[in-house]
Amino acid sequence: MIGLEKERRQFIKDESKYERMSELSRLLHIPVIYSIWRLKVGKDGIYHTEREFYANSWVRNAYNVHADQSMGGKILGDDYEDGSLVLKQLSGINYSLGYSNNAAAELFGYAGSVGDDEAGIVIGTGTVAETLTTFELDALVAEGTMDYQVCALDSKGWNAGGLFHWSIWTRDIDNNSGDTITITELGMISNAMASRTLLFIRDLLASSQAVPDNDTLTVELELRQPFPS
Amino acid sequence: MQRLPENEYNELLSEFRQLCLETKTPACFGRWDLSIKDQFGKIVEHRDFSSQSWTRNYYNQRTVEFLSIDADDAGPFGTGAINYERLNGDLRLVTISGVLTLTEGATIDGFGILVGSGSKAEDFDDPTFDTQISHGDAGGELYYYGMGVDSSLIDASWDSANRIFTRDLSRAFLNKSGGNVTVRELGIVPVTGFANGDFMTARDVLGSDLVIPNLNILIALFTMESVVFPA
Repeated sequence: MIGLEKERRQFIKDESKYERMSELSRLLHIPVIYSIWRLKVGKDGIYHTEREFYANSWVRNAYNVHADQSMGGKILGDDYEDGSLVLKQLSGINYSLGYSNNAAAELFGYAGSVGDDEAGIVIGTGTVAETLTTFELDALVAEGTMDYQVCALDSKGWNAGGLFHWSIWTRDIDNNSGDTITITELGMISNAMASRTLLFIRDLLASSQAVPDNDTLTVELELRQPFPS
Repeated sequence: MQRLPENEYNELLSEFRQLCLETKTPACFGRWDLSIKDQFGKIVEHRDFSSQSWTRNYYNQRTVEFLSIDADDAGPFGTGAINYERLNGDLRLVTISGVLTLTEGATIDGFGILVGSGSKAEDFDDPTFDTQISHGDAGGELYYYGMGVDSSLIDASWDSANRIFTRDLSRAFLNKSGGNVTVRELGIVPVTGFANGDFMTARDVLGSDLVIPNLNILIALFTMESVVFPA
């Protein structure tokens, strides 16, 4: 676990790495997508904590979707493991018929409705190391323990200076439990295929985040895709 | 758009792959392998080079899938817009199916690996041929064989030592025109499943003419490779 100041320095250090990856992506004409988490904790729009760091962990579902879609839709393999392009749902059931987020991506995609802890941005208290083969959070903070509000597209656009398309998805999660809850992991679940929800990103926090009773944790994920100039 | 020399491209690709691994970011890239065989099956010419030209169509499809935003701009096709352009240059707003099938039957010259004879420069914002070569046996035409049936390795394969996926797709083009046919352009047009959904996702222009003599066959192999999957 590291302090917030160290996390800030790490963000600046990571920034140069992501900028170089973006530059190479443009030069080579190979698309990449990366993302940034932002956390805010407070009440009634007044925040006592704000954090920002790169999401560094697309999981196998995202890798397999990208490879499968780019390589021509030939899913192979039997399980969610090395050498296979099979996907694994939150339920633990494998899925091998291909993924698509092309129909109403903003309505479904990374969206989650009120109280839904199986779609969109989710949080947890687990500490199991990040692995490619993850398909769920280690210890999900379930709806009821905290109160999940809507997860929705906040904004999107083209950054002409940075030469990237971006989208920002955000969700408020309220702590009305009567006690402080300490968050250690974040996840993004694709809801594009409705009943077949798939974890795409899981990140462990460099340092845990306490959410006092009656406070709201606002989680934001910004996704960026650099384009050639 | 300026193509990078092969050695420079490969050097930068190596650095890019390492950064993708460090940041756990997925990506895929392609290479072309072209062979001309004479009527006796002997390879009379061979070229191997990087594909450097995923077009805006492919990028926009990645944006829709992973940024989870809709293709919704009316146009034009270009910077800041999320839409698609057809082979004939028409703008089309429908999204590309998530799965881009890259196999196509014999005689079909609207999808799959396609070839052209023009020399228009590669352009990220121009996913159209300069001059596409049609299927047929008349002058300037080539016979398009099927993909995934008689000339394509259809399964992706996993390289466990290097932790990468690769997939080979190939198509054969027979020259029965009675004369030479010159190829200068190569394109990938996935089968999207949508009517009028012929969106070119990659177009490469050859550095020099590739002349296919009469009764010779061109085998165009497009190999896609993933970046390294984290351990």
